[in-house]
Amino acid sequence: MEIGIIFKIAAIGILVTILSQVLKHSGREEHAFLTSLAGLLLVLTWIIPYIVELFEYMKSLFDM
Amino acid sequence: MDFIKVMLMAIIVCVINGYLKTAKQAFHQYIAIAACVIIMIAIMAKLSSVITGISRFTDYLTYTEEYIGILLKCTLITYVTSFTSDICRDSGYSALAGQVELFGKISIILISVPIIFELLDMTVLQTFGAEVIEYDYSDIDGAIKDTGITGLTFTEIVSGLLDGSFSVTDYIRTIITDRLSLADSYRQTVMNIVLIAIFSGAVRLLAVHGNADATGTSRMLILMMLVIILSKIYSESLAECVETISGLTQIYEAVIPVFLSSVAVVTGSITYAAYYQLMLLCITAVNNIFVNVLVVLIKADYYLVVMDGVLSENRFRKLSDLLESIVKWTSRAVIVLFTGIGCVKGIMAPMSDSFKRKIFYKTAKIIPGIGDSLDAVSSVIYGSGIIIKNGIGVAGMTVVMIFVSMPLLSVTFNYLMLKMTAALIAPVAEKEFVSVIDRIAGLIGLMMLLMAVAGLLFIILTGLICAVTNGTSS
Repeated sequence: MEIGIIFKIAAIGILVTILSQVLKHSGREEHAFLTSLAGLLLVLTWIIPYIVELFEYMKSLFDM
Repeated sequence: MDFIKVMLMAIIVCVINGYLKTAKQAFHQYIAIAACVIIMIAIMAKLSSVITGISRFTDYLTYTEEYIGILLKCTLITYVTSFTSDICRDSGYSALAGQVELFGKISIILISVPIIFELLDMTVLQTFGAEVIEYDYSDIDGAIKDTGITGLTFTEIVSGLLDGSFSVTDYIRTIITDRLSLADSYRQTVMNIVLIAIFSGAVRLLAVHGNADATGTSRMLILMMLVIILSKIYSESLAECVETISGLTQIYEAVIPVFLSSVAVVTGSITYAAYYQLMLLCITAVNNIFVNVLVVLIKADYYLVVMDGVLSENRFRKLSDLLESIVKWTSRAVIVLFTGIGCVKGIMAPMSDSFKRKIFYKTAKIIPGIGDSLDAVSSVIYGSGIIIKNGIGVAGMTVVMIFVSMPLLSVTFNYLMLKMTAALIAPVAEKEFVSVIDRIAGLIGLMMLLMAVAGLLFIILTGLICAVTNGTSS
């Protein structure tokens, strides 16, 4: 659990935003949508294990 | 995770999100969630040392072990619920956040069902001390034995007092050492209360925003636990109080005929009749007023305190203050009333008896030959009669003292323990906590008052009768 995840998400966010802007301007709306969807999925696959880890940790902590 | 790191991270997240929000994508929310998770894990890492400390506490506890598990679970649910609902609310879904809160509340209530049932058992269904046990006794020793003092008989006390070998202070000293050996159970109760106060503090940490409903529910649960622990002490003290007062009247019902007939030997039938009526009235008053009215008032007051405690409000504070002052003033009035009546009778009745006796002696002395010897014999009988009467009177007082001192001491210890705990946790705990403990301590203080007044009443009356009838020589 490190602060690195925040920078990773931020990087993905910036990248996806730029990509979708470029794709939109070149007239490929559906590709832009797919790019942002892919970005979201990628971020979700990082975040959800973290949340699960947190809840497991809490459970082990309180379930003496 | 270091403290500085967490703070810096929060600032960085704010900066990054400031940019990402303009991008019309959901990434800023993900970053916020990730930051929340990271900070929450840091919190949990800090909290783990507290929890291991609490688990060391549980080694000392006996009857509330299962509470600790429930408390931990309910704290966990509170944390997770408020975490989730805050994230939901942050993302703009307050309806979702509300449902999450509701689910958390219901889960807390579900795991706390045993506690709710125990609270009901302790408060609503309790049936202690309601009935005064009626039994007939053949003599004082029987009455004393039935009320629980073992190893002491009335005859022993009377003879011990007459030859000076019986010491009340020795007896009371053994009682005190007896009670101090129970210090372990007192320590456990104090620790239970302190532990619950710590948990309530841990849960309250989350209620900073004031919108965390799960926090409110778990606080209510924690207050219920406090009320249960206090109820145990309360019902123990109340049972002891009722038993002592009714036992006291039973002992005195047995002492009175013996004592007053010895009074009749040195004074006369008028004094005997006057004091017999007074003592019977006193016993009836103690039985009726104390057991049937004042104890019931204390019970009613207790329910008010429980309600206030569970609702964590001070709604019935004024009413319970009123009940408290009623109990206090009634018991004071009873003492004043009976001491007053005793004094008045003490002035009148022995006088008319000694007047009668004088007439009797005057006529008897006229009879030639018998008159002088009658005087000598009667003064010897009269002198030894006073000694015996005072011996019986003092023995009666001693029995009362011994009988009252033990339960009174244990109730006093309960009272002091609660007051001390309230003082101990007052700086850290919430004020509802301290107020509930304080009010239950007040109830136990009222019980102390009742027991002391009942004992004192009999001691004063006996002493008064002894003193008043000493001076009435023929």
